[in-house]
Amino acid sequence: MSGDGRVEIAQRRDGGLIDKFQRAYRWISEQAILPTVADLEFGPSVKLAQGELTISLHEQESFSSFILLPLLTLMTSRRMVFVGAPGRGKTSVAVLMSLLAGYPLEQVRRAVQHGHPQLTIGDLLGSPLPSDLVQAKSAQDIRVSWRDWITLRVKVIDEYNRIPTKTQSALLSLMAEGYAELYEQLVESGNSAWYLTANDEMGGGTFPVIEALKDRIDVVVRCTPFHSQHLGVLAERIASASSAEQFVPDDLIFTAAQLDEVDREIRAVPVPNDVLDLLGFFLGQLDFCRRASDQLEFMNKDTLHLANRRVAHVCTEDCPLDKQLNLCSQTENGVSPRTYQSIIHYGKALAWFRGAGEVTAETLRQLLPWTLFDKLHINPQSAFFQKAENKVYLIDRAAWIRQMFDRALQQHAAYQKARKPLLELQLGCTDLDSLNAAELKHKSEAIRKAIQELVRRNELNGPTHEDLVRLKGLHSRCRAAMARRGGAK
Amino acid sequence: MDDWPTELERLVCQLQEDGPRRYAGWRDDVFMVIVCGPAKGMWARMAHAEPNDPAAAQRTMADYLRLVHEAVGLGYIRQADRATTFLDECLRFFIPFHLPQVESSLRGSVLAKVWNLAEGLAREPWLSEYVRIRLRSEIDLMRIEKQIEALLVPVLSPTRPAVWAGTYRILMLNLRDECEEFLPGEIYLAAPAVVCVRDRRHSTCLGILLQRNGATELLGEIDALPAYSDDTAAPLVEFTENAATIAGRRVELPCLGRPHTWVAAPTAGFVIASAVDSQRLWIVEAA
Repeated sequence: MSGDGRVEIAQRRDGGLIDKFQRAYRWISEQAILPTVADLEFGPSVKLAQGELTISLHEQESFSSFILLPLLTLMTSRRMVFVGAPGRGKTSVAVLMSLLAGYPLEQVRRAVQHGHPQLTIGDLLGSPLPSDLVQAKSAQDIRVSWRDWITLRVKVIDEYNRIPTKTQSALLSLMAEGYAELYEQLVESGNSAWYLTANDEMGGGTFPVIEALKDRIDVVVRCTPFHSQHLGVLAERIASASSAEQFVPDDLIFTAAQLDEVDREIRAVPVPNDVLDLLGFFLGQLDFCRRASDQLEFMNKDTLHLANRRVAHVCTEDCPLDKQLNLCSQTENGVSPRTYQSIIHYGKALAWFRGAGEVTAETLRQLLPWTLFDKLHINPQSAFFQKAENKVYLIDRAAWIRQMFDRALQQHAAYQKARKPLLELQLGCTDLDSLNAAELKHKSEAIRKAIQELVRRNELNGPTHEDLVRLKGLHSRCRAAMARRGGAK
Repeated sequence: MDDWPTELERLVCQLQEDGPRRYAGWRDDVFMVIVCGPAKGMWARMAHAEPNDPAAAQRTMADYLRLVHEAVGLGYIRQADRATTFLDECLRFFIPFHLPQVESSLRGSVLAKVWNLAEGLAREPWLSEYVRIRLRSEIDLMRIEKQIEALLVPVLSPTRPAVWAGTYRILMLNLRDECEEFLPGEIYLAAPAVVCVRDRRHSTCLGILLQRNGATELLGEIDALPAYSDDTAAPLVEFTENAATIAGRRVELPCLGRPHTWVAAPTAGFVIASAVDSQRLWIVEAA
């Protein structure tokens, strides 16, 4: 009650943060952006088939990657790219993320950086004060007037693939290292979520995108086409002169402290060892190339690329592996540790958002098409794609990645029995310095036998290679521990 | 809205415009149903009760409309055609009917008190439903706090732990008394001592309050509440024809046959079962 006897409604404390993000998702997808495709589908499904067409209806809630992944990016302060034709809502979604982070619309619009061929480093980052330039006797005397957008929690770069290569390098430093430097002055960007847009799926715009910048992108999301069922909404927006990204309701806006708390809660979500093992089992195969070298450690695609060769050159009938079964034949490359980190972080965020206690294989399955979208290059010459039913994967990259993971899931399950002794052996080697010389020698012998057995029983494919490298590494650590004890012979 | 003063009309328009800006869950249709129905009725009663002080009536109406606005935005008032929470019921019925009779200098504090009480209850959906059903025809806005307290004391008082090895009391509850065609389907716990029973064929849901010493009572039709997970260890229950063995002790359950569904409420000390072909519930109470 106020002093004059009127009823006053007190400032409300937010309920749970998960609930708030879920409400944000619902509001954006039901009232603002209206995506028609829910391509992150969970739970068992009922399949309705008619001829070649199969439609899956899932039991649990499905989500649109076009809305959910930007939200996950906001939660994790990572970096994503929207790709798609003009006018599909890429910038609108990015602006909505900025509004959710509490920035007013005018500030957000001014802060969007628009890529164009004449964009200089100064335009992007800032420039020295002219008076300082004239009077300065050394670089330290020059003060830089940094652009305001650099310190915002949400950063939007429109058409990043139209930025000149030299300016891309300056952007790279900011995105990758979190700081920018001019005239020996530094500005730090702080924890921030990055939203970049590109009109061309291959990232090819006016300038080629430098590989290092592409590698910093954690997730690539495709725009979804507009569906005519929402024409009424568009007509209403014309009538009322409103737009999708005009505002977000006050009760969805997050404070900086709340976003920090979300970050902490997400990082605390556990990833079970078997899920990590599955992820390693899948992605480890993609780096493998049996034809790259005779030496175990160099049987990978990097060896090929350094010799200016491609997988297509060597993945032929000369390689004894079955191209239909082995995933290594499908890709031109593997992925970096940075990509593993992105997948794990987004996995935690997705599990948190869904209220799940931990990351599961299903979480990975839903995320991998987007986290690997731009990271994996298809080997179109692979015999796998010559089969009629697989040709569609040359076009639909998300479906291609998902089918690879599904195959890996099956292989992982089938391979587990054979791998169990190896994993137990690895577990027994976690604290080698606590073992005495005799125990170390015994361990070393066991590893040698395991390697022999592995080679004897299995063909040298991606999973076998992973385990051989693992065992050889364990053997090396054992010998090193023995040497520290003076027991090596 | 012809009888509304201009200031109230302006306030309604402002609240309508503000609604989607403040609340992700804003429902303009629901807001306008309350404005054009209960609010209008309340204004007419207020004008009749206090014809010489329209300013006071207007102030009360403005406070009320702002609370309705907040309730719609936060989802306490969700449906246009019926009340689904105690707070909804208060704003839709109790306040419009009874507040005009309250002395004008006290109306603000009564509004605030009702809101705070009802919003507090909303944190426990089953409590909100229980109070909503119980207070329907008996509410006194000036004594509402005492009334709610009187209702809640018996249901919130700690009960002695159930002794499953002792004697059992059997109660048969005929749900037909509440709803003519009700056929018990899914039974689940909504709170340690509250059970929801869904109709097998329709969307009706009945609530039952489990109380010791044979005081279990049918609450009536309720909104389906969220399921509650009781962490207390449940006794081992096995059903045979017309009987159950609970924690090793046999209990006769005449005419049950084999149960259609059943649930244990271990904290409250009850086992509840329905039959395949009966509108009754068999309720077994532990000592």
